[in-house]
Amino acid sequence: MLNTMKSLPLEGVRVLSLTQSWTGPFASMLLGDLGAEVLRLEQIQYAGGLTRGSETRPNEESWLNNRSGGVMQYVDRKPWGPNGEYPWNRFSFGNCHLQNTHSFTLDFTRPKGWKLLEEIIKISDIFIENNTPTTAPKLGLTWEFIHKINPQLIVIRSPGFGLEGPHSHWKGFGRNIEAAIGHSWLHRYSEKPEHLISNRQTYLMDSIGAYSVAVAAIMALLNREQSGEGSQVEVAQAEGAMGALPAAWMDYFANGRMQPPRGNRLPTALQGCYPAAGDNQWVVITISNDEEWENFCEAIERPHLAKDARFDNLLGRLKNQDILDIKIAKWTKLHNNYDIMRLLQAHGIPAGPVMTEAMSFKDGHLKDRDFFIEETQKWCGTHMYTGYAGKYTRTPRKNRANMPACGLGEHNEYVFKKLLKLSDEEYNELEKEEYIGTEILAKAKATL
Amino acid sequence: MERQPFEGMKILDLTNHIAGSFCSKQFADHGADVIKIEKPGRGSLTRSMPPFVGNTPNLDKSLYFLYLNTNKKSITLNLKSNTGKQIFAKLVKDADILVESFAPSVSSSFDLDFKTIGKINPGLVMASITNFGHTGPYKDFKASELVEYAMGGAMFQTGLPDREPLAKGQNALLFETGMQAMYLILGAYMSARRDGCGDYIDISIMEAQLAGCERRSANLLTYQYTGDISLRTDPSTGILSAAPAIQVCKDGHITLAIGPKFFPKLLSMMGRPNLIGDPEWDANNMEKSPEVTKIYDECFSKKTKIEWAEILQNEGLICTPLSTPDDVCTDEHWRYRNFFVEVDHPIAGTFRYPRGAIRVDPEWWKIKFPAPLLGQHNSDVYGELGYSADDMVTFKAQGII
Repeated sequence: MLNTMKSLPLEGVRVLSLTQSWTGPFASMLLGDLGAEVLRLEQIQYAGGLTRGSETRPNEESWLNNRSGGVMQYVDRKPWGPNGEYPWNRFSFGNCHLQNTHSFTLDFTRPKGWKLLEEIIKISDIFIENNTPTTAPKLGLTWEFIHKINPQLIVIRSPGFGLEGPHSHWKGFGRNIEAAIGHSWLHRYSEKPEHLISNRQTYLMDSIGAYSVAVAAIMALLNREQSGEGSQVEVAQAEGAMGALPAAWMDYFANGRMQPPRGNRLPTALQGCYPAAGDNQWVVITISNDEEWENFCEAIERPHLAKDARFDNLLGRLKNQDILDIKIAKWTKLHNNYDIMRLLQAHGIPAGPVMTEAMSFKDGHLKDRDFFIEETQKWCGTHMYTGYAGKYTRTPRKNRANMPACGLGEHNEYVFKKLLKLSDEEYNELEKEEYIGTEILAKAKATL
Repeated sequence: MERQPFEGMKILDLTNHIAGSFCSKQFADHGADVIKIEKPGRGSLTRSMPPFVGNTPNLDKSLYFLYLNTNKKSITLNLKSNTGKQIFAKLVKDADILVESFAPSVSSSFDLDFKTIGKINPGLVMASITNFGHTGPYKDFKASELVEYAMGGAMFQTGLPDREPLAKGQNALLFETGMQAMYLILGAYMSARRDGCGDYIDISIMEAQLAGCERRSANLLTYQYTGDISLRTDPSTGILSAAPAIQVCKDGHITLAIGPKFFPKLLSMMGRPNLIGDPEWDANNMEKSPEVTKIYDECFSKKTKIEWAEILQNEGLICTPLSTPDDVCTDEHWRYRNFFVEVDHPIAGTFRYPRGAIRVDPEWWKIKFPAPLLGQHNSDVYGELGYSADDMVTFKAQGII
């Protein structure tokens, strides 16, 4: 059969990943999904980048009492597992994007470790890092050096503001970069000062950044086939995000206009987010044209609204949206948000619930499409993890369930004994001298 | 001239909206030969999407269309007609990749399914980008960008705690989906070019949100680990120390992220080293009295947002300006990096567009020609297929092109 003969898209490609939070590790996993062998370089001397947590020895009580969800939490809110499982292997922030990834540790700041890193660089195809521009060169990992010891190696660098330019040395969390690139300005409820930053949970640059880095890596592989040499590719995370907001910049350059914040509204449709029955439950509705408006009024059994001259065309509906929003909310409040979706969709109107995590896992459509993946990670137990974007029909992908989120240093033996062919004795020595390990040292440097 | 990575790759673009067009734009901007197949008459939907150059609606002046279709060729073709289907089959025969974004019910009416297409060209990689995918109970549901964000994205966490959940920057999630589609297509292509066996990819915008590298994936896992859902939180409270997360200054606002380790340094940089050690100014004292706020306001009012960012970042403290769009467009950093590049279009005129985020020296990213006029490349493309000028007159008369 044709299907079974197909090989993984990136079979035979090895990725060395020296990456921190989101973009870098996520992009590495994306390459792993397509069959690349990802070697994630970590250190027991450094609890960095939030991927493995921000503390070397987390405060158990404060985590246990933290019931606010968020992107960082441990299994059962317990950093240490019942059998002494390490906190850094039980952290949701990292475990959501460390699948199809081998983790090895190495203190490459000491000469012996550096020699070993050189050997790994020599057998790799792609090196990904997403630190500030000065970090990798300071560690000795300059393009000149890497290119000299392995001319075929592709280097992908993904700093926040880019490798060069007046702000290239700027550091920032998502929220700080969001502000600098205008997204915080564009993305708020209104012009009111209290809405200046209307969000602190979600950021644009990570999502587009991770996929851009994966795409850049594949482009560089195609290019290498022609040129025979690796290239250095830069993907500035801020620029990826700015490329997803073209109207804001082009309106300025073409028309000298500043795009206003719109909240949930649109200039081309009646649109809003309305309260549904229940506590903190919401539904969004978009009504684009007269036909949808008439259908909407019929669906909610308010025929008089359709006849109201204030609302009988889109301009009127937009002009009077404050009034309409109150009327619509009065109706939505009485109904469950899933029921609203079903009713309005049956009338041809785009509508859907604002899904909490609980709703996503229960959602019938996602279940029908087998979106979530059950993974058993040995330090965490069995849970449902987010699945892949897009469904291939024939192209095989490495199943994340077969290689769930890696533990710190889980693949040390594989990397040092199998790939670098060190003897047991040499390996044990590395462990003893704390070049490698699976336990972050209590004295390790924390990032924050 | 440096070779572009996708030179020689042939792509058919049957996309009507943002996600698919952004995906094929990435291929076109990096060297692929992309033919956009548009509906005769009004063309692609994005041609009618505001804002427009000069605020005048015109099929060649939509900013979205101009941005999304650089380096593409445009032909018009009525896919509903039999002749149109025959012409389309000829195009498919020669293509490496086909991207389409019709609703499932519409694409089946065009015979635009992989069973048919794959017979014409078994090596083709075909990708469908739809709101909810081609299977499942929601497949025929309608969606707007906001509905997608609500159902797939992290909308529940986006916004202020005492308000309704909030959309993110306009259409941004569709651009994210486009980039994911490109990754997926490249994956299938890498495999297909080895074994000659193409593939069909079913991409759901809703799932693209859930599978994206947004905080959503971690929120979902935290829920699995604890049963706790993530809520909207107040962006004005400091996250790392008592230092304000957002602060007014001379010409606007700045954002700060200062850990306890750097807090004394911040006080020095504010010109108030005398406050170091003052219990009211303890790094972990999150209760800010009006006097404390007054001192922050007073100190920070002395410099502009860019000045503060420069001064503090030079000392290793995280500070960025809260930029307006015109701040961004005139920022020396993006100018230095030539991020906004001038593109010359015969009808829309000359102004700056954002460039691609992937940079190599020498460049792989190039604007060779601007977004096409509707059907601009009919004679070139149909000529290459072997149709004469007379044939095209006939097609036109029948409304096929």
